[in-house]
Amino acid sequence: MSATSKALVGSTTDDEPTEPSRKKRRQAVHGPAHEEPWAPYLFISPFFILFSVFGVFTLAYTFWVSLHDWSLLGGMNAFIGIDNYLRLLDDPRFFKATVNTFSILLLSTVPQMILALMLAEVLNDRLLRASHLFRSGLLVPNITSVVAIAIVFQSLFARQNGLINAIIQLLGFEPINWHAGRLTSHIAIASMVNWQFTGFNTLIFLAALQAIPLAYYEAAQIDGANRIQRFFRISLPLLRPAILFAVVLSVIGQLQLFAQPLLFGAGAGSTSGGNDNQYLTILLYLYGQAFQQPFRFGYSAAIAWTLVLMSALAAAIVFGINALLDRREDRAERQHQRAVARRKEVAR
Amino acid sequence: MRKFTPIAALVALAVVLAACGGDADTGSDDSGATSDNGSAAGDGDQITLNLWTFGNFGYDELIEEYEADNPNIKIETLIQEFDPHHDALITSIAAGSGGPDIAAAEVAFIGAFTNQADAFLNILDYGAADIEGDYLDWKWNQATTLDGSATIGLPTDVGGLAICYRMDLFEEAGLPTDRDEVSALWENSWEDYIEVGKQYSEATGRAFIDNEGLLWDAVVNQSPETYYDSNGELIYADSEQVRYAWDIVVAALEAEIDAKTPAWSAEWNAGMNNGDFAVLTCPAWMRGYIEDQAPDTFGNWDVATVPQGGGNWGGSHLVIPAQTEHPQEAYDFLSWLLAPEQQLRVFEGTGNFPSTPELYDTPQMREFTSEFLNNAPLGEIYADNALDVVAQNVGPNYNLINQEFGEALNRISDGLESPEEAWETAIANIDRELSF
Repeated sequence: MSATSKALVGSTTDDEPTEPSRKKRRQAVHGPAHEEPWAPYLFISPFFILFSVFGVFTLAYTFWVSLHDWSLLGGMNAFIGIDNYLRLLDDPRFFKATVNTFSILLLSTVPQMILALMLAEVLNDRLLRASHLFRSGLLVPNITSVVAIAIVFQSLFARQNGLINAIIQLLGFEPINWHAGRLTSHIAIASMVNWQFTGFNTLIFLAALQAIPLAYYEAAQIDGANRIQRFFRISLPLLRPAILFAVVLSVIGQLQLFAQPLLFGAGAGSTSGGNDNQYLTILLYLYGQAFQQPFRFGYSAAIAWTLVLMSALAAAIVFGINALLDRREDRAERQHQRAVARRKEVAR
Repeated sequence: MRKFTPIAALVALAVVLAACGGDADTGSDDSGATSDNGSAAGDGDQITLNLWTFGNFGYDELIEEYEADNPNIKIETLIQEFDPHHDALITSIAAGSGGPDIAAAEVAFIGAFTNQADAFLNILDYGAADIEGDYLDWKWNQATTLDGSATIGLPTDVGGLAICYRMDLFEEAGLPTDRDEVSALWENSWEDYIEVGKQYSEATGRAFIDNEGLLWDAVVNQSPETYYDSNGELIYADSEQVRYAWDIVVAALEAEIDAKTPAWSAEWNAGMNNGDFAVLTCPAWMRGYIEDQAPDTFGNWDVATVPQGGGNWGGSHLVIPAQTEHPQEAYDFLSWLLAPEQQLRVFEGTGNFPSTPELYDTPQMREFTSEFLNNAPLGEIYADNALDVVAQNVGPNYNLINQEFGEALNRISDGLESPEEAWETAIANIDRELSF
């Protein structure tokens, strides 16, 4: 019961309330204490029921499947413990898929964040005309179906009749076989992702930028800071929570990259990710192992769980970097304050 | 009747929605039948059979007729694209419920399904042995276990094999354009076929074949044994025909006569229009694809026979998943739907080539021509070809193995590996994938 009230009161209990004041607060929030203590649970239960059916259960079931030699067509054969996971460590294709996934992740997340920051800064300019038009325009790629985007990009990057190769040839260079090379195919796929999600991240950054008090910029301007200095010294540090949020979303999303490499591939529904697996991603490999010959359901479940752990690890790394930056900032702040205090003392 | 591009996935969605919509309409017209969606209400007189297919099997009229003759049977159809269809079918088998009563299985999947015969109804238990003689042996065997104890489905259409060629482009290159003369150019061997390709490319500066993949499929499928022998043993590494097909495709790659447009891609479709290549491996169902993708090339195509004769690409079976609640009714409908008389009507409607040889001598088939393909006698060409096909044990992992070889050839074409490296990587990859 006390847990409920604590949860409901939420952030206001941060300051370790004493017993009487907590009681008072509870009564203030939802009347006398004796009425239907289960009601809050009931109200939040739909989420937890759905989450346990479609989240917890599927995760647990997938883990159970991953411990078996299990064919999608032939059914469950035998309990084999962690053999599927051990095999995964020894699978050159899985290794390749992991490298590809992280390579595409870097090629899409890094340029995307930089571009989105720049666009957000430009769009935040009060002197910009028709800013609403630009802002809503940014979201158009994001609401476009990924299939449509992939088909357009597939023909842009086509080897024989592709627009990009036509331009390259016009400039007097040899056409590039985008699908064949590892890096070139990663660039092509990352460009699809960038096209789709840069606008979305720009809007996140724009919202965060608008929350920064104008006074900071004005003060900096009076002190003679130019626009670039204002961006790096004011906008960027204050945007850090928003950047963290966007990067975590992007990393988790990109680890699950599937439709883009599938549709980029030549031919129908080829899950091999290129003739040398040069753009095979983890999820594409997972899908191919389970739903195409040889229909290894158990093995594919092991891939799924490894992907879950990888996502958690990647998110932890991003948060870790943020914590490091936080600590460094705190230290700088403390040093600064000490210096100010010392200066004051000296002045006195 | 085989793969279409993922581009068509969008179209597929529309088709599925349309199919669902159609079903809902007929349901409400027929007020008596509306109560039985889902399970067919116990022992009630009304039985619903779910039929899942992909692409155009041309069964609509036949289904109406069957429903009229059997008022207690209602057939619900679900038509999806190639990949979503097989994914859904496999998933429903894995789940043990939610599947159709009758489903199409393309030749790429039939080997894997036959290997898991328990998941399907053994139609021999329902008297299918009596009609075995109606169907092509090799096609019948694809859905029969190696020990002959179970047959999981009846054959629908066969792909057959022929070569479609562009008469206008052949003329430009100074090659003969008459179909008999063209057939004679390469009837003896695939080596001759590549020679013609070299002549063509020298004369025009353009590619002859579309891509190495379809050439591979054509050559490798002409053999009685490809990746598995008749006992089900894996022989992909030592099979003479596999190595022969490999050498032919490598020769074609080295002669630089291919347009490097991957099958089913937008580039490939564009190439069909632009004349980027002059020939296409042409199973019976390919005509519809060319007509759809390159309608402006009307009358420019003709059909020649395939080098060395025989070979099949594509075609399907209809199977009955074991989870059906109405095995007898499903089998009765299936055996009626795929009987020779009905297959002839499907052929007349869609051009899907029958798997029942007794039709091959009927005037309807002998005299069948296509205006789009310069009035080529398609009935004759494909019938003669189908009779030349030898039985082949497809095997449970045919698709996996075939794909590895296809990718290896792509690596040569992309300059990533030499032919010998590519062969060795392919064998090593297949060995590893199958070593579970």
